[in-house]
Amino acid sequence: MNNLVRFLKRYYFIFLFLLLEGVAIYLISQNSYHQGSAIVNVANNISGSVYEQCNKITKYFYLASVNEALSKENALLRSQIEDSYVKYTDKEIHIEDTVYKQRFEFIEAKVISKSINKRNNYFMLDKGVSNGVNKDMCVITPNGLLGLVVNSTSNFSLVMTVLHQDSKIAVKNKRTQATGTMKWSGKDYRIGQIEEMPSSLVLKKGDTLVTSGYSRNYPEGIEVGYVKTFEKDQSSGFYNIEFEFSADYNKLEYVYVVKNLFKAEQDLLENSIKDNE
Amino acid sequence: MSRTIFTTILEFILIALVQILLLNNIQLFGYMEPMLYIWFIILLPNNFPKWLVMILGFLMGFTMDMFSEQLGFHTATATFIATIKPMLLSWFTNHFDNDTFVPSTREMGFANFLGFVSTIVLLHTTIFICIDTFSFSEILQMLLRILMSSLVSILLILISDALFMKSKNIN
Repeated sequence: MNNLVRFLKRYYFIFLFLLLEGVAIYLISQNSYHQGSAIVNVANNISGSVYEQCNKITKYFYLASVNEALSKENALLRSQIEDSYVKYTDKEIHIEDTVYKQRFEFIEAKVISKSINKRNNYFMLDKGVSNGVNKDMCVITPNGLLGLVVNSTSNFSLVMTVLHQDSKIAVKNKRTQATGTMKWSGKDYRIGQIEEMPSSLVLKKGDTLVTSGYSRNYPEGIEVGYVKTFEKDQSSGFYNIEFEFSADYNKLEYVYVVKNLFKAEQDLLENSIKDNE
Repeated sequence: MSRTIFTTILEFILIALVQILLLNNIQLFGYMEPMLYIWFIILLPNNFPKWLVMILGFLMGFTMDMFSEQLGFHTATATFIATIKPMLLSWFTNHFDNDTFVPSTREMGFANFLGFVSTIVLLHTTIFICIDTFSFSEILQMLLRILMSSLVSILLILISDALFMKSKNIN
């Protein structure tokens, strides 16, 4: 017993070091954005409320640019409502409209903390489960795609942005419908990369890239960016594309969380495949 | 001793606040990550027992992690840095066994202090960014990221040292 005490006394330093590093490595292995971890939830709640307080002050600095973006968006929406269309036919055909059923709902949220300078970047929003924001919902900005909700507590939620190692999203060229996979190399927060876009369909500089809808969590047709440079990979037959993100992630204040009203149905279908296998 | 504990707590809170509320919002060129909180570990007095220094480093790292959405990254790095800090310090100065010694330009001279800060910051940033990236396929970007972040952190620590460590001297 005496020996044990002496042993511990002598080497407590190393044990303490191993213990503390062990705790840290355990935290890392929980892999940050993975939900269900009580520690992550508590941490998000605390940091969320601090950031919210801080944001009450800093949001005034961005009022001008936010207003501008909002009025632009208002103008766009106004141009889409029925009143701004002229009827080109005299004959009116009335049909009971069961063709359209609302599929996506949008929840407006405010960004309370963001990072763009890491290899893996996350944004925190001020809306959570109590506002209807849940895991796996897509988040868009007025100008383009932002990312995916990976964790949400009752009042806050964490978004894995497209500026992340694990972010791989199916996109397509709006003009030619050629599909590819979007990634981010970590080099520049304004530039993203596209892989596996077949070079059989001609690409032009400035082509608009939108989400293809193959990734279930992302609605189809959300703008992602514009083609900047590209080259043909002769061996694989695919293009290597660099594109400019349509949204400026550095200047983002308000975003929309997209709620897929059919998600339960789609999940059910997908699970039935898994069950069959 | 009680005064140093009080000062340390005050330093902890102030540096953590500056880091969280100010520096974490500065996203220079998408590459630089200013990490002033290393200064807190540098400033820990030498007469503190080793275990206390280690635990304080751990706590500082954990506090940073709480606000960075990626738990464990800062904690692992800060604990390690706090552990090896006494050894690193012994490379650059001889009279660190003095009770009131606090690493600063005034006590170590500019060249030694710069060397010490550069070593500790470079080591810290390297470990942190390696854990963060966790892939050697992007080694050039990783190096650039390490270099830029280290430079801005070293600069910040030197400025803070010039601003605060001299006035403390007068008191």
